Amino acid sequence: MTALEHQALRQLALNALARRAGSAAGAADLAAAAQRAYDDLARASAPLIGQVGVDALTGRTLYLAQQKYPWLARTREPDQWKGAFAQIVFCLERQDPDVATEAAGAVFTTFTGLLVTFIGEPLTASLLRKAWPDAFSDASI
Amino acid sequence: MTDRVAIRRLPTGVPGLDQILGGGLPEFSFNLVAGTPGAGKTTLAQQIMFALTGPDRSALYFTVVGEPPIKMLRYQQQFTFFDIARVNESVRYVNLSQDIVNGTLERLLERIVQEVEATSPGVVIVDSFRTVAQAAGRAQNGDLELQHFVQQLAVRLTSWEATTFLVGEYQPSEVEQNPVFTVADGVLWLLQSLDRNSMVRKMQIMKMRGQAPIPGLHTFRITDDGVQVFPRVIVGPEGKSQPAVDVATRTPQPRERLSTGVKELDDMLGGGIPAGYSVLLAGPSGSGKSVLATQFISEGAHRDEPGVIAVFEKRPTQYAQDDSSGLRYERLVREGKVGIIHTRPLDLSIDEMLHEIVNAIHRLKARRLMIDSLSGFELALAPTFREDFRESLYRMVAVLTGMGITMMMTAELEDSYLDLRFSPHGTAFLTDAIIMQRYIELKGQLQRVMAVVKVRGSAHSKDLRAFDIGEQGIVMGATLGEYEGLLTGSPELIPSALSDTDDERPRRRRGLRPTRR
Repeated sequence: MTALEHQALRQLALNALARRAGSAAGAADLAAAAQRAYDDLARASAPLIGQVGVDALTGRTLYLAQQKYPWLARTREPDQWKGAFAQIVFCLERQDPDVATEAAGAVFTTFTGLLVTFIGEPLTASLLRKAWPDAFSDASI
Repeated sequence: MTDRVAIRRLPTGVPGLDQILGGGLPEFSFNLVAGTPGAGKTTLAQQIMFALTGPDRSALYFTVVGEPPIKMLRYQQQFTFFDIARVNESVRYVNLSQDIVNGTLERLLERIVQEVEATSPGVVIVDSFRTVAQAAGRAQNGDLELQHFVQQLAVRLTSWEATTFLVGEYQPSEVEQNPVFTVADGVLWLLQSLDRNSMVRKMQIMKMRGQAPIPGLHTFRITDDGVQVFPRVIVGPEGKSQPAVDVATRTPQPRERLSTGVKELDDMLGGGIPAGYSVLLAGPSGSGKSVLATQFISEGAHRDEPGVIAVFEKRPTQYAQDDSSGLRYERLVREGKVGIIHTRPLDLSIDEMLHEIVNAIHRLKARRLMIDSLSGFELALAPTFREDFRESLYRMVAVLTGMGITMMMTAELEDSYLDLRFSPHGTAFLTDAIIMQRYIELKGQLQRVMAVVKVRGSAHSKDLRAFDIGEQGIVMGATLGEYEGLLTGSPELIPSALSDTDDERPRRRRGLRPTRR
């Protein structure tokens, strides 16, 4: 297996999004695809790192993604806050499809990059294969 | 009916642990790995889990609220035993945090059983079980509910043919009250023993149903390879060590003697050192103890009797380069005829040292051992073991001589002309033979003398002989039979040895009090 470098992770994320968004992808479709990709990833990761771990990494991902995409900044009122990823989806829905795709790819690249940092490449690769098996056909890893 | 149920014992993969458990881990046993925070419980449990799993046996590792799983995985995979390829294959982690926070013990039990029944693992670990107990504490009949939960868990996991480990933080005071300790088949207690600034890890097998663990506290170390236990050696009624150390079967021939490398000294000993004897070589600083002891090892190397040097004073490189006695240790080490052990100072246990020595003996098929010196050895031990030094040394000498090893231990003594002692540790009685070296003043010079004090069960010379240290090592000189009072430091020619001074009267001498310890 080649290293899970930034480009490889990004390519995997884009593949996973494309598989879930289908061909006619508007921003809303893309945001829904991102939600499904996230759910798959969270489902695979939670047994290993705990739901608390998943939530913590998602929060960190949102914070880091906001550095590059300031429009991901919290816009909802506290009583409407449904979690970090719901915030991301909420913001993606309101963007141009191309921008939303790029940002969603960056969000997943950041999340999976954090996984690599904390639990290492082999375990992350194992989780990704479980969460997004369909994303690997075109990926270089 | 005489046929008894056969309990298969599983190898834990933790060096030394199978020995102290009494032969491995009983299959399908329900065990508790308990101890204070930082004692190494999770590491031990993970190491055992990876050792026990493979293509035919899988493991379920339930993580509860204790150490966050993301951190545990991050740190545990630093150990060499952590096989990443097996994660999510034969080793599966299941996080129960939400179940414990939101549910009852009954629901938790069902969740665990459901996971176990789904994958039929051979090994189940719940880490940390302390969290489960705390959850029980919230219930109205907390203790009763916990007891019920533990019993149910034990029955259902055992009947599902799983070997189980509950990992939890406990204080020694809880042992009597906590139902987990009652229900568990095995209890492995881990602790950090503090003495001044030193910390030593210790493990006790508090119980292991169906077999006899080695009692007492056993030291262990955690390295990159995980946990390694150094079983406490117990010497049996006939001086035979019990199974902690794999004692070699070689038995010395009754009259076999080993040369010291100094022919005159061999003669003084009655023909060399009887094989399998322990020899104490006592003398003041600089008297030549290390020189003689290394000569003993070197002589063995040349006679195809490999030797091990356990160094506590010099650095091993000094031995490897030391050529003052004409010995080429570097070459002998390279050829596998001599092994040099230099261990981490100041935090050793005797059992750890013994383990290293025995390993080196087996590796080299050694017959000789030199410990240089007892004082350095004592200093290298963690403070907590120094109090028991004499007892520990007794165990070590018994094990090594029981293996047929002939050992020479140096002991530095402050030169005193008022008493006669052979060991600062009161250990002289432990040894089979004693060679003493001293300084004396003779003819205006400071000279060295050597004597054989005892050789158990053997005749030996009682002479005091002068000696010197030359290029080739020890050079024995004349027997100083014409002098008396040598050990007072102020020898005099005895009257019969005087030729021209018959009228000279002996001067008053200081008394000598033999005080063997």
